[in-house]
This record gives sequence, structure tokens and C-alpha cells, in this order.
Amino acid sequence: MHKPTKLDLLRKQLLQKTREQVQEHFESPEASIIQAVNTLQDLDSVFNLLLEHTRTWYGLHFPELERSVKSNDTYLKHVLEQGFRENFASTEFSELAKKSMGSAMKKQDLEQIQNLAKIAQSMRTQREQLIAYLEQEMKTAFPNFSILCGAVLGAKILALIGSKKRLAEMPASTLQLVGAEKALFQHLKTGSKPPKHGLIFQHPLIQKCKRKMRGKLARTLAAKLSIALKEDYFGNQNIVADLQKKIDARVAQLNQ
Amino acid sequence: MKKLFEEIFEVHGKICTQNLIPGKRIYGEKLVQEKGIEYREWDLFRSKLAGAIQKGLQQCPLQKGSVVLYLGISEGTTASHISDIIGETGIIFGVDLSQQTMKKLLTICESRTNIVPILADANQPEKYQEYLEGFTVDLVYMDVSQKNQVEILAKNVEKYLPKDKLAFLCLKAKSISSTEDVNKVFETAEKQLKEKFNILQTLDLNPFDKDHRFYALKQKG
Repeated sequence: MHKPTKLDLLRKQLLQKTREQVQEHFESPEASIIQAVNTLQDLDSVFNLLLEHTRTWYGLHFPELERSVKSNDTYLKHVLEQGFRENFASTEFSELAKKSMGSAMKKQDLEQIQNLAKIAQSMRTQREQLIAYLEQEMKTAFPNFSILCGAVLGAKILALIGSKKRLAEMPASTLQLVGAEKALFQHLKTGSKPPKHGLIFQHPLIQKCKRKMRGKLARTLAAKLSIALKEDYFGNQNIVADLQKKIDARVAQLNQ
Repeated sequence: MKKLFEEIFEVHGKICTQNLIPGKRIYGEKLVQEKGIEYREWDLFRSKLAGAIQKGLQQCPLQKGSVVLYLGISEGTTASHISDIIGETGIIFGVDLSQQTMKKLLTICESRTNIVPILADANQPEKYQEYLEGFTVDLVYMDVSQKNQVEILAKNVEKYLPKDKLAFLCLKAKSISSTEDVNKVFETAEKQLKEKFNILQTLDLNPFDKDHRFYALKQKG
């Protein structure tokens, strides 16, 4: 049997040491970015759910508005500002409101719908603030990468990988497929077609690119993003203009 | 109530250990009172050791005062039960690489004084040599989900485990190769194991853990 005093000391020492190591890890500026972008993604899905409920519920009273207003923000504004169908007289929907086949609605019913709409609307503001925050933080942490990739997309990739160091040490070909793990392993396992792009697919340049060329562009883009990440981690120069030129040249070549 | 192993009981048909700190739960498990003593139910689906016991593990060297080197301690679900078994005189050296899981383990270490956390890579056993000095390890328990699991185990066992003691290994086929056939993966791993160890028992953990095997091992020679 060991002397309890020695064990006790050892335990205290290791507990302290481990706690410090863990703390150090979570103090990294990326930790906040990752939390923010994860929140942002959940916020979007919650907003969509709330909006869906607002639209169907208010649709009982004024179904025609639902069909003619595509923009979510405008729709919420009308629900909150006009409310009852009778109040639409001064808007472009006065005719629709008059002929509406929706049922009558009690004051209490509308109140509940408007409460819902208010929450949804405040989530929009929250979302904008989060994006502004992400842009700011990403620019500080990744001056090159965030500009080339876009702050939100860059943060999403960071969230999947977990740390700046791991991102910087990642080969471009892996970066290209981050987020497409399922398809990649399906390919390795069964020999199905390999994925051409992971999260990087959300990049506006790839979205705009011709379908056939997307894989090629994804490869180039990943390579340049990887260089940018390495500069952000190991160096401190601004190489955005240089890389952007190379990407643009490749886009032009592919779109010929 | 039936005694399965030293300090491991079957209460109302469920595997349990006596709660070291009565009234406290670790991972939302059930607490059972039996003759004035509180037991914690051991979740077969969350702990591979419990799964192995259910599947018919033949020997378990754990007892009051045991010293355990636990590689890949994670959030301490299994470790908390081992902590129950070995009691206040025993000690678990819990090695894990991930800060995220270590954060959760630390809260358990606060109350359970027989778990000592070590944030290190089990691949480099020399990194925690100084802490284990003067202790004789009774069991190496390994659950790390790494590609070179067998190699890591061999390194640690060689360094810390006396020849006559056991090692428990949870082998996850999917972390060795996600594409190869599961049986083939186990076959290669077992061949690799046999170079260094005598395999005392092999248990398939299905249905508690898919594509997992549990090995009780002893060093050769």
C-alpha cells in the first residue's frame, strides 16, 4: 500500500496541471468563433421553424398574403404592423384582403401569432449581429483565409476541424472535402463516385461556376485557401491579392 | 443480490457497483438501494467493461486498492465504476488526449479522489513516466479508438505492467479501418496481439457496441 500523503500530493499536482492545460486550450480565440458559428447554424433552423408556424397560423386568417409575399422579413413586418386583414387597406394588398377567403380571427389568436412573429424578427437581428461578430473575429484570426473564403464559410470549416493549428497543417486535398466525409467513405468502401467538394461547395465562386468545372475549381480553391491558412498560422503577411488573382485566372480559364 | 466479481454485484438482475459517493450520479445512471447500501447501475450500452461482464468475462483482477492505468479514459463513465470497485485506497491513472473530454472528467476527479487525470498521448508512454513511478500497476485498461491501438497497448504494457498482471483491450474495428471487412480487421489485429500476448479471452460486444471486441490479455514469457 502506498502512503496516502504521496498519492495525495501527486493527485493535487496532476489535477492542477491538467486543469491548466485544459484552460489554456479553451482560451484560444477560435473557441468563441466555433461557438458563434454553431449558434448561427442552429439559429437559422430555429428561425425557419418559427416562421413556418407563423405563416401557417396567420395563413388561417389571410392565406393570400402567404402566397404573394416571398420575403420573410416583409411578411413578418405585415403580420406585426397590420395584423387584422381589415388594416391592409392602405397597402398594396388591399384588394387581396377584401376578397380574402380566410376565416375571421379573434384578438387573442392574433396576439399569439404576433408574439411568435416578434421572436422570429428578433432572431433576424441576432443573426445579423452574429455575422458581424464572426466577420470581425475571423478577420483578426485569419486575415488571409477569411477574405478568400468568406467569414461564415471559413468559420464553418473551422468548426468542423476544431483548431487553427489543425487547419493549417491540413493538406489542400483534405480541405477540399471537409464536410463530405460520408460521401468520401462511401467512395472508399463501395467504389462509388468520389465527392468533388465538401463545405467548400458553398463558396460563391463554385456556386456560380459551370457544373462540369466545379470539381476543378474546388481543387484550385482548396489549394489557395490552404496556402492562405498556412500564411495565417505560420506567417504574418497579407497575400490575399496575389491568391485572389490566381483564383480569378483559373475561373476565367475554366469558363472559357 | 449476487456477487459477480470482487466488488461487482448483480442487483435485481442488473450489474452494479457500490457507490463510492452515495447520492451522486455520474452520467444519469440509476441508483439502487439494497439493504441500506447504495449501488449504481452499470449501463451496458455506455461502458464496454460492463458489456464484457454481461457477455461472460471470466476474470476481473480489480479489487479494493488496485492500481489501474486507464488509456483513453474519456469522460469517465467506465472509470467511475472502476473507481467504485477499487475504493479510496486504489488509484486510476486516467490518460486521455482530448481537452474537451478531459474538461468533463475533471469534474469527476474533484469528487472521486482515486482518479488522477493525465492529459497526454498514450502513444508516448514516457511522457507520464514520472507520475507512475513507485506504483505497481495491476491492470492496464485500454479504449482509445486509434489506428495503431495494438501498438500503443504493447508500448504501455511493456513499460508499466508486471508480467503476471492482466490487460483489457477494447478494439474498435472501425477505427482501424473504416472500409475493410470487420472480421479481417480483427484477424490482423489478433495476429498482431499474439506476438506479444497470450489472449485469455475474446468477447464480441454486440449488441452493446457494434464491431467491437474485448480482449483479456497477459504478456508472454
